[in-house]
Amino acid sequence: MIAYILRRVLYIVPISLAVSLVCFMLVHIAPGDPIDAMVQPDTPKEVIDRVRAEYGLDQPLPVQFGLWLLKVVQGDFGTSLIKGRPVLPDLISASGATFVLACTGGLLGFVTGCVFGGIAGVYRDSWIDRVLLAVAVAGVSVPHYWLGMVLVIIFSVNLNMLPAMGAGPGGSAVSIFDWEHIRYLILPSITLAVIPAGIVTRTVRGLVSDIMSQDYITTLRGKGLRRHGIVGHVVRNAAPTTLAVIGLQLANLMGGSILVETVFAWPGTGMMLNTAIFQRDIPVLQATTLVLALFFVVLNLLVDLVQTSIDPRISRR
Amino acid sequence: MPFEPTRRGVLQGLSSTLMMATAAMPIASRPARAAGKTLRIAISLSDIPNLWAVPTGGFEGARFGGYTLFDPLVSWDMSSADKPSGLVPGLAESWSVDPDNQKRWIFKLREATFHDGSPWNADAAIWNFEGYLNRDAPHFHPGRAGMAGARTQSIAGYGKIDDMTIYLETKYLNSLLPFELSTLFFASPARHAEVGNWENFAVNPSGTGPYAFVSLTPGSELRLKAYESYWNPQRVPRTPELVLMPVPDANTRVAALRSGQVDLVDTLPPDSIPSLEAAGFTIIENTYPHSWIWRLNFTEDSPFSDIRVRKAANLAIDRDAIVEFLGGHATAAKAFAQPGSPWYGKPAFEFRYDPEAAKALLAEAGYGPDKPVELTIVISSSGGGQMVPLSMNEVIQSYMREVGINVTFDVRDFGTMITMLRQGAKESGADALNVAMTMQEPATGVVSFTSVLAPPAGGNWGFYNNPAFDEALAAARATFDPAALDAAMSKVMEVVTDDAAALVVVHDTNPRALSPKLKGFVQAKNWYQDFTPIEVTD
Repeated sequence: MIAYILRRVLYIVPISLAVSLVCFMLVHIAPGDPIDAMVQPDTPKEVIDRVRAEYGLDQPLPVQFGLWLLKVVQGDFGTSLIKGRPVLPDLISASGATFVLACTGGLLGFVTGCVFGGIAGVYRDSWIDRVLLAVAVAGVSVPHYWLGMVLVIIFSVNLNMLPAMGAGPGGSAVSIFDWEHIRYLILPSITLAVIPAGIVTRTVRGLVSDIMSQDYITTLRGKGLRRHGIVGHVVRNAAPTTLAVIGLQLANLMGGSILVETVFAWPGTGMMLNTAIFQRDIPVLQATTLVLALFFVVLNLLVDLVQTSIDPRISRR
Repeated sequence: MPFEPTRRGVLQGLSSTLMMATAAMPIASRPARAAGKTLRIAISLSDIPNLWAVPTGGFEGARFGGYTLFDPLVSWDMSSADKPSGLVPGLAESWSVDPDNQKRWIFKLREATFHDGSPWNADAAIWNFEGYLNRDAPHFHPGRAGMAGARTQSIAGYGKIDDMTIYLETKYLNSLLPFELSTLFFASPARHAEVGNWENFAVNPSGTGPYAFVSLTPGSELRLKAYESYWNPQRVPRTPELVLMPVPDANTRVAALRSGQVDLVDTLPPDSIPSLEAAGFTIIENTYPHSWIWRLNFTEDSPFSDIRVRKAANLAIDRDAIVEFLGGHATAAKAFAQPGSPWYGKPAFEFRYDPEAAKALLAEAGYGPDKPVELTIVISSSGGGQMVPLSMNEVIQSYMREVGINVTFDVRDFGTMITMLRQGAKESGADALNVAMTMQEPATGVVSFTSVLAPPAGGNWGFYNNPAFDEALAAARATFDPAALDAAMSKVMEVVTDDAAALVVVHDTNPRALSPKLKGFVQAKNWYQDFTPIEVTD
């Protein structure tokens, strides 16, 4: 097991490298120039050429990538071309904001999805199943930004119950968990939770209804096991696949939802990445992509390990 | 053996979670809340502009990250909503041109202090110019120099005359230098020495502006406080605190205003205005030197190389209808300069709606129903000063079709379009590029029509080459008397209007929405605004 974990940890290195390389190439293939985004449109060409040279952007692309990589392994993620601030503190701050939002939205979505999916699976083809399935399909289909705006109109503008935007009063940290801060989390969390809730509902429903039709469930019933005892078996058998889906969804949420973060002006990685893309802010783009790739890899590893711990049929060697 | 979570593992996980969440703390420690009222403004930028005295984010960046914390040598009069906003003394209390050498300017500096208490004087001014122009200076930064490059391009030299006097030398006769200096801001050398570099300065800035830095939370807010020792007592802020919040989504900005999270919304979407007015919010707007235009391709391959096609395009569109489409929150263009501008001039050709005249001009140029003009136009989906580009361009497209001009759009993101603007029409192959233009600072506006600025040298995207324009601009640059300069700039504007050198559609009025609690705001006819007179009442 330890060897497996070590091997998976070592995989992080080539995966991160590959993601960074692909991102670097995409940024340079896409039209647009970071220096053009940085300077005034009427800046003379000689000034632009000089700035490009000073930032090393006139170097061949392999050299630029190599220099960036060399700095990253030394813990230097560079300085934002546009903001003039070191990338790392902003990235840590944005990751923290997204982490809090993703965990809250994820928890809400996964719990709702598991409960709805479980009930729908147990009562398959009943009216309860159809209602919950309709809710799940609506959850997957409804556009994030539309739902976010509707919630803001109802709860912020009309009822004046919850803040319309931001991550905390007075731009304060999202890490404080008093009511004043939790108020800011509610609407974006609900908005973010809707899609994972729908996906998990459908997954769990399928799994539960499939398991409920297995011979061993009939055997358990025949042996006189009561419903809550059967549920325990169903949960244990449905858990590995559900966990895999939840892991992927959580990784998606960790990547930051550009739309939800934009609608709620939530200062997370989604908004940071979105801004960096439009401004061609290469150091921010590279660093953010790398961190998001690490999120995915680490979360997948954790999901694999948890799956192993709850399902002895899965072996990790 | 299956993996089993241990208590230690769980605790370590929680610890990491806590560290991650704690990382989202503001850069500077949170201040105690001021006892008085706080003015909160939602800005449309996606983040707080760079605070190292050369703000990013274009004119909006300068409005909020420049004029709040810093001052230029020459500033703008932002005190009136009625008269044109002209240049006024900033950190220079006066300036003059050396009568023996008109490339040499003398600036008398005023008494002022930076927010950190260090003095503003000739040494501080020269230190700043060194930072912009001298690559060997220890505090030279390529990013800052690049961002300020458009403002410093005509400066050949600088120096100290005495403690409160400096001189600047220009590369050519340039009476427009004061306009170029109006967004060149000055940072505190003492603060830079204290923090060691510009990256640290950007998170702990010090200038001479009416507001001093308190804290910055990336992506969330910039908190400033009134600078009580500001050199201009008339502009000491009426509110003790100013909070700027970046909210890029227009609907979110409006919702934040309506829910009471902010007091003033900048860059307001026109369709939200009726409901805001009905809800009791104050809407303030004003004309300012902004022109929503198509920059045209003058190379031989483009139909716009023919002045008859350029004039026909300008006669084909009903600007009043477009203003109505915008809810009345714009001014129909009649010339390059906006009505009321001292540079409006007396152009012979007026931008008006006359489809029959447009058809006649197209017929004269060899086009007709069997041979329509085919145009490809690069437009953006959004961007600074672009208003609502997709809808506006679709309206224009329908008007053009009626006179025999078929328009195809090439939609790009704003960043890509700015790159295309620099590359020039020959590379993009388009017939026009829809990028709004300022008429406030000639160097960032109409000067780009100069033939010597054709790509790759500068921003003359369409390779416009009109000797009459070059001569008029050279004459204006050699005119140092302010009244005569207005007349000379009027001539420059007349030339481009008469030559239909762009498709000029409307001038934005930039409506802003204010909470009923706000008093005292005056929206000047300017890209920049003064927020210091605003009071927040109960």
